[in-house]
Amino acid sequence: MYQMNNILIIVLLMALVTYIPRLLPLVFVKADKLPEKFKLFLSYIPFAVLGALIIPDGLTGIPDSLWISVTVLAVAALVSWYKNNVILAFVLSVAAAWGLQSLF
Amino acid sequence: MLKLNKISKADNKVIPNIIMGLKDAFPIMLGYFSVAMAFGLLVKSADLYLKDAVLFSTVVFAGASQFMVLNMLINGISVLSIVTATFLVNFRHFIMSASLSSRLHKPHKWQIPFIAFGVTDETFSVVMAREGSLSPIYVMAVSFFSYISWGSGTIAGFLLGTVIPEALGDSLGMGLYVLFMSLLVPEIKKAPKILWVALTAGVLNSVLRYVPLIGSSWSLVLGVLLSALLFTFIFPKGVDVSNE
Repeated sequence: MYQMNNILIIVLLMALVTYIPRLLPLVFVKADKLPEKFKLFLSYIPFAVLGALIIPDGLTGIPDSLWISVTVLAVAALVSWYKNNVILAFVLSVAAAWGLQSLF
Repeated sequence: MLKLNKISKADNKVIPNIIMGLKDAFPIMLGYFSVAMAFGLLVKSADLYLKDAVLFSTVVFAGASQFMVLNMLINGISVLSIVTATFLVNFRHFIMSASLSSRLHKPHKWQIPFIAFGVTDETFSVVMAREGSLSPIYVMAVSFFSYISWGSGTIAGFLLGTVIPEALGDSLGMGLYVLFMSLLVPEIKKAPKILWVALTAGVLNSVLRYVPLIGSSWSLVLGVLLSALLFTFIFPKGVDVSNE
């Protein structure tokens, strides 16, 4: 189907268009030279990113099962609310995901 | 995880930062390994070679776009379309890099290219959950361990195929969303307004993708930018007390 050098060229072009947007802000945005308003804006980005990563794609994190995905996310949220421990939340939620999928 | 942040923010000691990075990267590593296995398996079933799989995972290092491109290759889509789509899907890292850059503690010039290469949804989310400014060594460590796991998972998937039961693989893949949730919830507990920032971005991302010409890659970028912008004005005092 595809020749090896085709794949290589595609991978290199993909790498280029992926890497440049990752690199430029780190080169040009300097922590100590930012206006306060812009810093504030940047400080909201991680929370917005987390929200946009979870909704809506996390709701179908288990393919074809909205309710299992939502249940698993709820388990993760509950565990994290009471215990601020990422590993614990991860283990319990993944176990729940596996258990529910095996049962249903 | 966050409670154990005993290392001072300005501390650039190598070993403690690497250990902290390994610890924080652990959930990413589990999730990446299984998702990468699925990717390796797909590459194999597309009649491509192991070296192709490894090239994608080690040179591009951007999960969602790798799956998308594999699909495009199978369907014989043009190289130009593939590269354009990759750019769109991965452009969100531009915003993350900007946000990360504002929290980095005096990175050396030589560290910047490595830090940039390692910016993914998961590494970004994990390191930003730490308080205060971030040691470049720590950030690089989180990315490095995640990268190793992504690469080795790809190889394992290609070679072993369906050794991991599908349900377990899906569950570990779901683990990445669990990771996002477990990073977000403690922040909401500390500062409830964060819920509104996250929820707004999520709702915008869900809605905007159905608007013609936007699609799911721009909807994420726009959702994040609009929500952050909106709350810059709604909550002008900020939420992250540690973020001087």
